[in-house]
Amino acid sequence: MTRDLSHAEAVEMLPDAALDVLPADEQTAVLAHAASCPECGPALAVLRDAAAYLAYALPQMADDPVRRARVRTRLLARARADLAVADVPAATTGPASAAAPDGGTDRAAGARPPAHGGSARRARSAGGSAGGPARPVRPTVLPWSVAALAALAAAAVVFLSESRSAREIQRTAAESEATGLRAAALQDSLVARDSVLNQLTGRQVSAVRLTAGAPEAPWAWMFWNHATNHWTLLAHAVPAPPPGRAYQLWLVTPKTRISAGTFTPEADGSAKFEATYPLAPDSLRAIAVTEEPAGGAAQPTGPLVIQGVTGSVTRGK
Amino acid sequence: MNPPDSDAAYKMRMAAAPTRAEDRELVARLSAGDDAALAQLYDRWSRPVYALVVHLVRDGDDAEDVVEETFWQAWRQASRYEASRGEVGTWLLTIARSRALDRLRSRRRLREEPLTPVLPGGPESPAGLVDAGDDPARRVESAERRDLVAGALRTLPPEQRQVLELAYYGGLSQTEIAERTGQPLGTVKTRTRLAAQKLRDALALLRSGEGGGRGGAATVEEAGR
Repeated sequence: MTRDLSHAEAVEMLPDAALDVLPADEQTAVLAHAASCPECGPALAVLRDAAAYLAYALPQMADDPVRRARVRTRLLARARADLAVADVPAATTGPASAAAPDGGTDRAAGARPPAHGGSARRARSAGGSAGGPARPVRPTVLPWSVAALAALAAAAVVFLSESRSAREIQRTAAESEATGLRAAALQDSLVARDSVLNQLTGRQVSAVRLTAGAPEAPWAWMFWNHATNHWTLLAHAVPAPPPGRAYQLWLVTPKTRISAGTFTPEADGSAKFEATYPLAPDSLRAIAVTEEPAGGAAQPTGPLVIQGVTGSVTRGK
Repeated sequence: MNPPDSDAAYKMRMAAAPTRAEDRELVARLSAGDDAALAQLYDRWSRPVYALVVHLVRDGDDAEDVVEETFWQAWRQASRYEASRGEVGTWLLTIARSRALDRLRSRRRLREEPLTPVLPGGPESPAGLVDAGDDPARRVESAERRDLVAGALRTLPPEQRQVLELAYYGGLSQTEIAERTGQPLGTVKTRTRLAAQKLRDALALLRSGEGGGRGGAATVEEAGR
């Protein structure tokens, strides 16, 4: 528990806090005081700035461009996933899987059904600035929200049952049920987003960019989590397929083309597709999306929509 | 107290002004969700951030993780950055050091590592200067800033300089510094505070070159959380 500091105590400890040499509880107490004190906040900022300048006096290490490049790749993949997760509807649109020519297993077992009737709304962090990057909201808040909604609805029903007509009670009960369903749907979509985020930001995740070559053409990122054999495709600007047709995802190896399943895009051209399929890390040559009959095809037969080759794979460590 | 080298500080402020403005622009773009700005900010600052982190954690793999988390935190908290409260570089370095200390202290708890900080110029200190990047202006800025800060450190009494170096470069807490130096904890606290205040005064000109006021809500302290 954080103890409260007097202003005089906090002032005395500001230099220590700036250098981060205090025990954790005292550091937290000083920061808490500084966050709300108009005198200590700026004073701590000045001290911290001065301390940070000490980094420039280091006889620094020789540069390690390989490590820095590796971190850069991971960092940008996380940032793009961060943006993509917030921009792409959570609902999966395609059927679970199509033919599996080399084994017959359901390779799209990880695909989720649409979440409660279609696209989830865009989740924006309440703490973000206007126009700032979209942040997936953590779902831990929602159980409380659902419980609170349920409690309010129950209280409302009890109250109304004593003072309103039976019709009003029924209407209120229906509204509360609908509210509960909406809250549950929102909770599901946030849990799904959290799951996607975990799949995209792991240490053993490769990213492959799929393009069609034209500026306005469809494009996508495929994230391959080697630790879980989980594949996540996030696509954009995908036109609606002709009636009776769907898009089919293929993992291309030296020996075969493996169907990962079929999908259709949302009305805004975005699509998210997930599948679980084990594949040796060095056996992937390319990833492709073709247009096929709605039920999928055993081998690619339709026009190529987008593709990415393994040369564009960026992999975490 | 006057700065140790006001001429050098002046020259550095003049040279650094455009790059500082560019840094602030990049952070503004970060807060708007521009991942290209994140790439540029990383390219500009990953060298000094990596150098500080690897000096503290002394493990390349750990340093990689900490550097990634540093810029990830910058990405997530860019909207909280306020230019009036300090330059982007010190904001990033504060985040980096805080995350590095988290890693270092966690590792010490898990492995019961001995407290053997590596200080600048010490026998275990890594040799060679870091490549300050491809931008000549940044190389000049980095070199002049290094001279200025080293000069400020030289103005401190040896006992104050020692606790400051053990704290900042060694990542030791005051209790650990007391154990290592054999000095009473109260003495260590007094020396730490005096050293930090003198450093603040000695480097005041660096901050005065940033433009903007000193007011506003806390942001630098958030970086250390």
